[in-house]
Amino acid sequence: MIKTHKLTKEFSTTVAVRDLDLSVDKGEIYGFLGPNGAGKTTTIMMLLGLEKPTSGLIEIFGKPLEKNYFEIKRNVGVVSENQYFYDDMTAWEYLNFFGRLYEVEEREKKIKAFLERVKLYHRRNERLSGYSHGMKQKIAIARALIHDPDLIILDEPQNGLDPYGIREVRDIIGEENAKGRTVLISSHILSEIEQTCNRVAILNKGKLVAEGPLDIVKMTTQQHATLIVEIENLTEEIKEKLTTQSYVKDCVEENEKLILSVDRDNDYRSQVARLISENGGLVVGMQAKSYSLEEAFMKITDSNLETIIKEGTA
Amino acid sequence: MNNYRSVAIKAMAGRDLRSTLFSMGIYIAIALGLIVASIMLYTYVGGIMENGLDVMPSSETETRYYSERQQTPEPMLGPLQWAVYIGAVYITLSASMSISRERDQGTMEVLFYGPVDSIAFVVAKFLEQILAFGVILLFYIGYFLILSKVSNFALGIGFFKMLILSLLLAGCMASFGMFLSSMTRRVKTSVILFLVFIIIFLTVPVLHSYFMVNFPGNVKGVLSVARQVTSYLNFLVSWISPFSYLQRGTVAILLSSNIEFIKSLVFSLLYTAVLLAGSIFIFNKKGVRR
Repeated sequence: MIKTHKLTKEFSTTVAVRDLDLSVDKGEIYGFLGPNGAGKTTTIMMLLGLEKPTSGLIEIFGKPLEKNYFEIKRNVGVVSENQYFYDDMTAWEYLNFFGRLYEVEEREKKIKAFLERVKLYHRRNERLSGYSHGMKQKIAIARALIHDPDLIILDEPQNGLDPYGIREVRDIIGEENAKGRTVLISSHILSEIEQTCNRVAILNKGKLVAEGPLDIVKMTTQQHATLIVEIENLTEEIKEKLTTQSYVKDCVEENEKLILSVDRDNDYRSQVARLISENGGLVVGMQAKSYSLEEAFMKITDSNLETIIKEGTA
Repeated sequence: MNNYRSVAIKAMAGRDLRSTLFSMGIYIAIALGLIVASIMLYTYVGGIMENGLDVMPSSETETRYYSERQQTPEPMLGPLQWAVYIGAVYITLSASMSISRERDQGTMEVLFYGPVDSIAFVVAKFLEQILAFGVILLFYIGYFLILSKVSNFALGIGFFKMLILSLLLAGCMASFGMFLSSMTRRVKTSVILFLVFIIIFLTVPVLHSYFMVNFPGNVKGVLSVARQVTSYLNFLVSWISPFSYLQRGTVAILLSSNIEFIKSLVFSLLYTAVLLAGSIFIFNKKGVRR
């Protein structure tokens, strides 16, 4: 659906995006993450043709953007982090204008449906200048979806929304994705990305530093997997035996539980359970610690990023 | 033209025209134009009465009166010309804000998320200005038709030639305003630039006339340099200023020269095309983001 190859954008003094290779597949919800100034918005602007890349290629729907500009743009819906509206227009007029721009069929019916969906139909004849931030964001989402685009690009769509608004947006994203639409979301609300996305890409200082399914990306930041084992009859001998195993990197007792750091190359849970049982212990419970996207994000984009990458590849 | 592009142009021009028609500016410009035209016509009638002629003359008397004074036999032409000037200045001001305002507000960026490119955007803005001028012209035509009926002053061929010319003038003015607008990111800067150019366009010919009338012979030193410089500037302004294109056409109408009239139309069209192309070029260089 979206492919970039060695996409680079240089400004006079900085390189905003460097050699970016992205691949967003049809029908997925793709999270695009990175700290402020990482180059996310610049990348999105290049995808939309609003910034010209210094070098590299962009393909959307399998076609280069420059040669199929109108065809592609008519099939993309965008919500940006900034809210720009014609304040002299009402919500109805605004959506009607964009409906005309995209040549939407059964325009009035669709506008009505979208306004009802975002719970603003009763305020359709009010000027947008009187709308709150959250209401404007909902209108922006309605505008982005009015022409039933196959690709939806959302740059911080939940910016400034209250918990109800955030949930509404999440539901809308889910509903649109269920219809087979591809969604690219850039967001700082990592918990939302975690709840909605299938795959993520993390950008830092213009470079792609992690990309793939959510679980894999979360794992790549950890050198070792962590197992939390609850044992009955825990003895020093069990601890010593575990410590001598080549795959165990660390073993700490904490609240009658053993916290084991093990190699990531394999699933060692059965081996650990067997060893404990052979040495007179009884495994009452065992779980692999899951890392949150936030932890992964912080670690990946931290200042010691270079070190992590080196360690990870060593 | 690409069908998708024409859809975008139609939608954007329609939105902008609606916005213009719901604002005060255009009606102030129309009112001003009509007031100036009325004052001019009132002065005309006063002049005729002072000369002892019938205020409602036959066309023969009228023609003889004006030909003796080497003036146009169409009393409506001058007032229309001034009304057109006022309408055209409004169009230039409006055009000079058209691009920068959308860039300033960020709404341009939202438009470009969709099926809009620089050509569609600039052409839509231009079309909207022409349509707005068309609305102004409709008011003027209505007013002059009523006035002609009431006063018995004939609306001759010159009047209708002036109407055609004024549409092309609107094209020149709109493209000039848009050229200025494409260069700026803020509305305030566009307006300042517009005022600076209007002042230049008005003062340079006046200065040039001043030097030519007051120092026609051989002069030396600073005066000679000043006269030469204003002469060059005046030549430049005669090609840069959109007003000068209306001036050329008006002279052609007064001289009843069809060739000169057609030439002035062609020059106006060329001027408009060059400035629109320039606007698109600069627009692409500047980008759409705030």
